Amino acid sequence: MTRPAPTDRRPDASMTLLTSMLQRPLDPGYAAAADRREAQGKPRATSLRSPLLVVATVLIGLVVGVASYNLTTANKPRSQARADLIGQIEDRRAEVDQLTTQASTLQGQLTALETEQLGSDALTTRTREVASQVGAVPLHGPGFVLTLDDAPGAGADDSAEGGGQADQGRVLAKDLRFVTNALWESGAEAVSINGERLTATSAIRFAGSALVVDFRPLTRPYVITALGDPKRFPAAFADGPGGTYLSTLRSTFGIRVDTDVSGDLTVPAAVGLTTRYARSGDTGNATPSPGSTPSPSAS
Amino acid sequence: MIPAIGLSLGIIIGLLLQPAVPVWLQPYLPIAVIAALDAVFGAVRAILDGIFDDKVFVVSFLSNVVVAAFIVFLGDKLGVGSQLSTGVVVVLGVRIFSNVAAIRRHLFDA
Repeated sequence: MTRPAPTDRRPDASMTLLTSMLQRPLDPGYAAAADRREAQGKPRATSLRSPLLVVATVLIGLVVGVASYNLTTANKPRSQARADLIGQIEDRRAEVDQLTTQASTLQGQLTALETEQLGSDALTTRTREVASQVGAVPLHGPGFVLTLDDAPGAGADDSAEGGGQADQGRVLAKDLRFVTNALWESGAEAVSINGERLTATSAIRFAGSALVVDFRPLTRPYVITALGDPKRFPAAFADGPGGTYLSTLRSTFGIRVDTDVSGDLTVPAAVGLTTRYARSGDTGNATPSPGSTPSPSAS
Repeated sequence: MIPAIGLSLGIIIGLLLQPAVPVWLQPYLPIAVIAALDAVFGAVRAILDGIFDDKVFVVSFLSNVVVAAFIVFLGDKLGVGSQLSTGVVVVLGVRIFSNVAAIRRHLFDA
């Protein structure tokens, strides 16, 4: 097997694309046109004053100007649409907040009127007891506040989207669910997250990357307020699975956890507490067994 | 002189009128700008070489834009739009660089 004798091939003949691109960057058309004109006895270059040239330069300038205007991010239709949507979201959220306040005010008035009209026989006491347990009235008392926040640098700024690293340090719906279940387990009597009372029908879930409690999106930090026996409840939570889970979150993922025991905390009433399908039967004398506390499992 | 005035006039008109470009046309704008720059630097070099031709200039600009836009369009349809845009930018960028180098040799003898 002999190699063919070296010819007068250029050593870089296999890279003709690169050579031609680097050595002949000018349109060969210019040289060809110049040669043609020379053959006809005209000057090699044409004048710079032809109307065609003026039109072409204005056109090129227009392309550059329009592009530079349109490619500035602030002028993109997409960012306008985004701003519109954000505005709508904020409007609707303000509306929801206002209606929520109104609903809770009315609920308070209703409770007050009920108390005034019905006096205090055994049945109304019972009703009030049940109402406080299912979350129909605001409650206050001793308990503690648990503040969870994303790890520093993880989702703390909205620009850091995606990225497996950034997602590691974020508080997930799973975490909130586990913590609230642990709170109920260790004797919490009422729990709210960012001012949303958790009831038997509450759901904590993910919508995209946002945490949603009862279909209302939460913003960080996540403040969980739990009421319970001041002597037993905080210790029971810290020693139970909840405390272990939180310390794992803190040490493994860097999630910030703050606990603050307080003597007087308020948990608001749940808004829109109705049943959709279940109807009450004739419960005139069927008193519910006193041991049946509602066990809201937030999942 | 006249071409330079025309160029700046076009830029000013474009910036003042602020026409909204439809969304489907937006991916082609950067390519059009690069193609326009390539044609302009090619023309400047040809002027300095003494072989400028207005018809070649206009045709080279239009064909640059059309071919570049077609390649990007084809890339979009084939699902490799960004790669082909990069290819167009690289090719035109190399040409711009060599043309600018030739202009520099003309102007500064260096």
